[in-house]
Amino acid sequence: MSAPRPVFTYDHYEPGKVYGERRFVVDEDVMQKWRKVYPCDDDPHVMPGGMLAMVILDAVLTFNSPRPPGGVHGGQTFEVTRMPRAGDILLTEVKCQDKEIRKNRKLVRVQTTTRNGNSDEVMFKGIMTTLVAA
Amino acid sequence: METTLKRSSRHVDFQSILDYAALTNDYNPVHVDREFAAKTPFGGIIAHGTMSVALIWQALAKTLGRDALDRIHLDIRFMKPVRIGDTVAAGGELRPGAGSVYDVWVKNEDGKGELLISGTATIRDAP
Repeated sequence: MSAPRPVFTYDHYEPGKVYGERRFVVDEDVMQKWRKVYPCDDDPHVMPGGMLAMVILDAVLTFNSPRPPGGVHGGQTFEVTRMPRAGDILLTEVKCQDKEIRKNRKLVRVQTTTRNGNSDEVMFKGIMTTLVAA
Repeated sequence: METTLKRSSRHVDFQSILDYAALTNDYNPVHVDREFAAKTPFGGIIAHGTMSVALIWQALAKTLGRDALDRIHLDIRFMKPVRIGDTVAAGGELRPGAGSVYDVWVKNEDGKGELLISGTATIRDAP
């Protein structure tokens, strides 16, 4: 049994560092789980836009965790070039863009780039601004 | 181009927050642990911000159609938290004289219309 990972704090973020690439499959199972929470997102062919954040969170939490409890999401950008479709395999790279302490608040910006796992086409990019708790 | 986005709304209860936590694997205690959240500056559970961003995407898709989603830059800021019991709505208006830029928002539908999320959605021209 492996030891628990240390808490990923503000000090662990290194601007410019790439933490890894996370695989996410847009299959019927994950789309159904989404639609249980958002029944209106019933187009069977295209991934609902709200799921972009799910893909990004899944990738960021894979590499930049466990987080100190109590942080909050301050802002988010999404640059979409092609909304994923059912069946797509997505690869999301997670990179620390920058960080700063402003008015005693610890801000971290993490950049994500999501590509199609088959074609390597960039599908969407994001910048997630988080106020980390420690 | 439509000048106003069709609104999308939902009621937020604790179960829907837990469901969203399971969906995203984001179990930050400020979202799921009542005791912890009570001791934070928020004074209680708050919903994941991205839970309401999904409503902005719905408003954009309903108004502009599926294909437009391939040409969107969405930039949002979380202004105030969504709490258990809130009913929130997302919408937006085309910014006059700014081309294909919508000012988008999520507001509380409690009568005061408090602004919870604010941002812009820029639609690139179709190729």
